[in-house]
Amino acid sequence: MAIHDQNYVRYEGHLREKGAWWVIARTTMRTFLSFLRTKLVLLGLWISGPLVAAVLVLVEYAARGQIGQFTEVEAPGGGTIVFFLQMQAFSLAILFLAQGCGVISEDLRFRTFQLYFSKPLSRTDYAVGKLLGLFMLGSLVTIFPTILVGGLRMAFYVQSEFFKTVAEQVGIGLGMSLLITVVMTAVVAGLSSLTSRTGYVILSWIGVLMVPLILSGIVAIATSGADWSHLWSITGCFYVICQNLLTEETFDGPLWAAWVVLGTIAALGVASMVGRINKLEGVA
Amino acid sequence: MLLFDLENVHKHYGDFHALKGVTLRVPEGSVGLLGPNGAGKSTLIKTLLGLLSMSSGSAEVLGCRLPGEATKVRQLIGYMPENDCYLPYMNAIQYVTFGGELAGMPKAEAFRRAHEVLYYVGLGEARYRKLSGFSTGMKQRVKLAQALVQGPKLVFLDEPTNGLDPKGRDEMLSLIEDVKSRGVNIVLSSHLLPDVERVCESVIMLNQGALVHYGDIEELKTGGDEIVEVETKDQNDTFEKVLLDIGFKTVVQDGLRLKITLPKNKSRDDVLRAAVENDIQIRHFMPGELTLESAFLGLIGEQ
Repeated sequence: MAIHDQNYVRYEGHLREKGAWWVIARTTMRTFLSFLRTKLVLLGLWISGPLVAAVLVLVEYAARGQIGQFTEVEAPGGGTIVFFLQMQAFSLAILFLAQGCGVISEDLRFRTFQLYFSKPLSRTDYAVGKLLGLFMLGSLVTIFPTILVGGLRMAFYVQSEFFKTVAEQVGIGLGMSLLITVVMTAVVAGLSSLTSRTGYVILSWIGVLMVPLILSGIVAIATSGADWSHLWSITGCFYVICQNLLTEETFDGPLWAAWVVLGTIAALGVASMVGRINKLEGVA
Repeated sequence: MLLFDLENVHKHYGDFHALKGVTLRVPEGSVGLLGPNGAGKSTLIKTLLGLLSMSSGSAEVLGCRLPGEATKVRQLIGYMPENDCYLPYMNAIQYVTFGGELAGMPKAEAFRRAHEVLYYVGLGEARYRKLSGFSTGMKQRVKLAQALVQGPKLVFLDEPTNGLDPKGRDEMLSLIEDVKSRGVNIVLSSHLLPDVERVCESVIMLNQGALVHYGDIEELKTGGDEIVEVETKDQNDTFEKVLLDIGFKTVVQDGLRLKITLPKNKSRDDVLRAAVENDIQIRHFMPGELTLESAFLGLIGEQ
């Protein structure tokens, strides 16, 4: 056995007493990224987003016969940003389907809590670390693209009279990206803490997205497209808030309801996760 | 320094009394933790790790008071769980490094130490292999490696030889003995009493949440009292009852034989006299040595 050939010496160095949440977050993120399917999904989402945007812009300009004026500076509208944010919500949903639903359930399944809680780690460290790890994964298709595209947009308008407007739009866009990521992260973490079967988490995540969306469609048909039918779904609530903040369109309904719906869903997700973690004793 | 200093520790889960006033002062060294299922071993380990709050009583581990210094305690202690507790898509280096970082080691140092301890436990060549492909023996070793990575003063080993073949078991016990020889204190929880006998100097016995015995293994085996091994002609059960009725406190069935501990006021002649008076035929009668197992069963039986 190799044991007797080694000169094992006890570690006597410094042991940090705080910051285990960051270790959990970093390891969670690194573990997600170690999967080939995560890399492929990310690549697909990163490529498809700009591709769709480029095609739409080109088609629009071509339809107007204005390809020649493509590089001319025009007054910026918020509609494209609303579309961009909708794409982000869609991308994030896809990414979490491919990876992320196992954020807590895999720990439940493989009993890794025994490792975590035998180390100097609090339940808060664990909860914060897991949420942050998932948030960082999500931000790869939300916040980072917003920063990148928003930066390019601002650079394009930097010497024009519209710069201030564009900067405001980018700021709102960034805030909305943050909101989308936070809400979806909280929901996925909450669902993941309910079971040790990641497959069930994926199914419930599809259910959380699709069922309200179908209800929203039914309500829209029944009310001849009333604005407040959007409030039935998570993505609808995002859309309503984005529209209100970024375009001139007014919302025919209580705007605060969209915030309340999103806030409640996120709070339920976090509460579910915290409740589950508090029940764990760590060692079998 | 004491490993643990427990004073009248109680733990209730609702109506269930999991620990019943455990009082213990365990000095440095290696100690076995024994008890049947549901005896309170896991509850005691959780309490000592600071994961469970005590219902009443006070506890100190390695000089740190619980529950106030639970985080500090877990920095000083390494824990090797009985069950598998790893993400199968991690490799051994990632897993042990992660354990080190969680214990508070700087990232680079944890990574360096992970290599060192994996070589130490004999997994140097397999350190970049996924844990899902590890054999039972390798899994046990990698769990030991993560328990040792931060240089603990004390390691809790929960059934470290579970599922191992005789060779693997021997290697694991050699490894634990080597860890012990390097000044690391050991608490070994096991159902395999020979393992405890080989590694530990003293033993804690729990039954139904109560402390049955704490002391030196050699003392327990001799117990200061003489032991005789007796075999009867198909009347062991009857003879056991007879002996208990006339004042023998510990009579343990050990295969075909009875191990009888002689109290101070009884002699070997009393055993033979009881057999003659009750018409029980003796087929084997000789001085015996109490094994840890029979001592354990005797103590549980007494309780």
